[in-house]
Parts: sequence; C-alpha cells; structure tokens
Amino acid sequence: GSTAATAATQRNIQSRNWYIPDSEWVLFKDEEIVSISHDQADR
Amino acid sequence: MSLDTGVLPGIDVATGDAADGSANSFITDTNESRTLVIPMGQQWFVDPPRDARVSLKVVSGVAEVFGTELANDVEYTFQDWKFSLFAIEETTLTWRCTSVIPDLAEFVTNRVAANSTAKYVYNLHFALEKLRNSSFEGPKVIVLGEAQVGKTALCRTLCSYAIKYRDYQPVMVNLDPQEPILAPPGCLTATPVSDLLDLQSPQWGQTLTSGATQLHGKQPLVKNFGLELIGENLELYLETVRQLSSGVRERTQQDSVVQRSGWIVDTPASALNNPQILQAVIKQLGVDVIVVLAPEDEHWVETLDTLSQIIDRNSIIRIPPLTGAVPVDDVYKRLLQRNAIRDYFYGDLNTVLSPYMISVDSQDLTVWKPRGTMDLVEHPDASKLEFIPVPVDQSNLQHALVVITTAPRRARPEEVMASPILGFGLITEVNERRQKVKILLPVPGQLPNNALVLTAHRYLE
Ligand SMILES: Nc1ncnc2c1ncn2[C@@H]1O[C@H](COP(=O)(O)OP(=O)(O)OP(=O)(O)O)[C@@H](O)[C@H]1O
Ligand SMILES: [Mg+2]
Repeated sequence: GSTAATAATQRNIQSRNWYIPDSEWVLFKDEEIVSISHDQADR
Repeated sequence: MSLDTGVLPGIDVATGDAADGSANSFITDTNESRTLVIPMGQQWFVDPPRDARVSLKVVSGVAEVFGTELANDVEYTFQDWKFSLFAIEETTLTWRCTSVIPDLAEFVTNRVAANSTAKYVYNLHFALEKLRNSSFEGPKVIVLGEAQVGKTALCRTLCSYAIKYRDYQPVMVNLDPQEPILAPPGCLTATPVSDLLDLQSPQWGQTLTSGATQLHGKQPLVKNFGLELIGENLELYLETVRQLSSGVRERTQQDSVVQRSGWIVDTPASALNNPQILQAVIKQLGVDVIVVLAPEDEHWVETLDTLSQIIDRNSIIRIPPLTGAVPVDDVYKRLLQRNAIRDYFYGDLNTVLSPYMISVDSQDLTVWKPRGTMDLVEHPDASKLEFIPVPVDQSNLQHALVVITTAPRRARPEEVMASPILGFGLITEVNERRQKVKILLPVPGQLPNNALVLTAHRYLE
C-alpha cells in the first residue's frame, strides 16, 4: 500500500523488487503502480 | 526536484551566453550556468565529459529527449549518456556541467544542428496512431536496421509519443541483449509503457522498488539470454525470444488497453541480415508492421525483397537513418551495460536503493550456464539448449552477474532453462579456502533456495 511506500522512502531503505512470476505479469495492471509524482498530482 | 542549493555561481546567466554565434572557445568554470537557445527543429547533441554531470533547465519553449518532453524550470541531470535535446519550438535553456569544458564551441555550438528526420518519425507515429484508432488490436511494429542507425532511439520516441496524448500502453519489446532497457544487460524484456519514461536515464527509467519513486516504476517481463552476442548460440536466443513472446501475447490478450496500443519491438543489428532470425522473430511474435531504418540504395532493394517474402509489402515502411544517431564504440556500450548493472542494485541519481550482502557456503550453490561459443566449439554435437554445470570457484564466479531463477536448486537443467526469473545477484567474492561466497542481492533476506544461472556479464565495484 502507499502508506508503507511513503515510510520506506523516508527511511531511505528502498530496494528493488523481485520480478513477479510470469503468470502474475500477464495479468498485471499498470494502474496499480504508485509513484510520488502521481501521489502529488492526485492531491 | 531542483536541489541546487548554493552551487550556482553568482554569475548573471545572460552574460554566459555560448550559443550566440560568437563561438568563444574559452574554458568554462565548472558549474557555471550558461544559456543556450536552440532554434525550432534543431537539436543539441549532448555528450557529457566522462564522469561529469550535465544539468539543464528549460526556461522557455518546448524540447524533448527521445520523445519525452521536458517540464519548464525543472532541472534534469545527465551522466554517462550521449543523447539529443530536440527543440519542437525555439527553446531557451540554462545548463551547467560539473567538469571543465575545454572547448565550448565544440561542446555546444558545433553540436546544434537541424534534425532532418524528425518529420519521418512524426509521420510514422501518426500512421501508427491511425491503426490504433481504427481497431481493437494495435499495430505490432518491429524496427530493423544496420548498427547504430537509431533503432533504439526510434523505439523510445515512438513509445513516448504513443502515451503523450492518449491513454495508450504500448509494450516495448527489447530483443537486443546488448541493449540494457529497464533491466541489466543480457536480457530480453517486454515492458508496457504506461507512463513517462525517465528522460534522464539511458535505460529508460527504473523498474519497481519497495517504495515510491519519483517517476512511475515500470514492470517488465524479463528473460535472461545471458550471453554477449546472439550469434554465440542462436538456438538459445530464439528459445529466449519464444519464451518472451508467449508472455507478451498473453498479456496482450488479457489487457484491452495493451491490446489497442500494440507493440514496439527493438532488434539487434544482426537481425536484419539474418533471414533465420527475421523469420523466427516475425512469426514468433506475430509482428504486422516492419519499419526499416535504411537509406534508399541498392541494398534496400534486396532488403525489401527478402522482407516481402515474410510479410506483405504494404506493411513494410522505410525511413532514413535518424539524424543524430552516432556510431558509438564498445567502450561506451560497456559503460552503459555496467551502469545498468549498478542501477539494478543501487538505483540511479534520483532513487538510491539499498542492496543486501549475504554470505553463503559454496556447497549451497547450484550454478548452471548456457553453452557459449567456446563450449560449442569444444562440443560441436552437444544440444545447444542444454545448460551445463558451473563449478563454484573464483575463476568462474568472481564479480559475475548471476540470474536467480524460480526453479528449485535441485531442479533438472531443462527445468532451469525454462523457468522464469526472480532477479539477479552479483557475486562479489569467492573465498575458496573458507568455501564461502558473498552475493549482493537486490532484495533484503535470504538467498532463495533456487538454481542460479551464470551470465557473461561481470561488474567490479
Ligand atoms: N536524435 C538522435 N537520434 C538517434 N540517435 C541519437 C540521437 N541523438 C543521439 N543519439 C545517439 O546515437 C547512438 C545510436 O543510436 P541508437 O542506439 O538508437 O542506434 P541503434 O540502431 O539502436 O544502435 P545498435 O545497432 O547499437 O543497437 C546512441 O548513443 C543514441 O543515444
Ligand atoms: Mg539499439
């Protein structure tokens, strides 16, 4: 969720994710991706 | 985003004008801010000195980097990357560099020139847009051409244009393992482009992280080829293409936005003149538009002939090699590949990531590798798709980039070859005496108990 994401940024211990399994990738929707610029734009 | 606290010297920007035609060849101070005006339709080929950062800010006008527009008054920073800044309208910008520029005329004035191929790129984009608007199934475009004619630049620009005005999500398919796009080198990838590409990044941006990033992270499908050149093991390359395409096709079927948007497929130069690769790739993916970056000469007639045996002639489009595409040497290509490995673990100038170092017993590792040139010479009759075991020692693994597969550690090699991947690890130290191996992981935690695959890529910190 986005709360966890914000906390991670503040503590600056972000790391890359493992790739999701192919079976999830084919169903993945890019709308689920969170970014700072969008968070700000949404407010 | 602009973090330039106090580094700007107290110089009136207007007096630092370098592009007023006076072509002063004086040495710049580092970080001195200068103004440049790029006339409409021209581009500045920016080639930052090695290890230096060039920062720039658009004051007025509209400019883009490979199709992605710069916001006004936002400072963008570039390092280890040769790119062009194209002025769609007359653009005034300020720029500075962290190192001394010995010859300003050479760095700026001589490198601002008309972009004579931009109109072809626009026209191509509008043609693709028409196809997207007229069907539920968007165009599946493959870009072909000799080395360094601007194939990758064209793909990037087409992806950026596609998302600029409409809610499209074209899938960027990279079939060139030497080109690190949103992944370490050695991979073939497919990435739905659903939001801005990072115009500061030679790798087009970043993939998802555990936190939010400045720009929308991308979620690629990544297949490891692992060898340097596709010619080393063509069968393995085509198998990797097959694995990637089945994923892309399925995603396309599942996602109506992706389906309407279509694909943009980048290729290695060697694909153009190898009918076996062409056939396989075009059939495998189900490509329906071919774009060739080539001059209209005798060779083009031959190329057209070959291609029209594979696909309908009306689906083949030729445009000239792009203005601004420059031949780059191997040293530069390696630098980009190296940086892509670094960014995978450590992030880039805007997003700092914390990788995780672990130490494991040598005996707990199972490492495989594909058959490359040397091995195929020694074993000409061996199956080209078979993976071979790699002894865990210093000569094999020190500084190596390895793939962490999703196959269990004891899985059979066929299973390892066919398995999706979790990500990459970097072997930083092999201590043979103590039987210990240090591995850098992108994600904190234990090393997954899975089989590893050695790649041809090495990284020394
Ligand atoms: N306006 C421009 N258009 C195209 N390429 C440009 C432009 N400005 C700079 N370049 C640079 O020219 C170089 C070659 O372009 P590009 O990598 O797109 O060619 P390519 O055909 O994909 O090459 P390869 O055969 O190595 O894959 C790159 O370093 C690219 O950044
Ligand atoms: Mg390329």
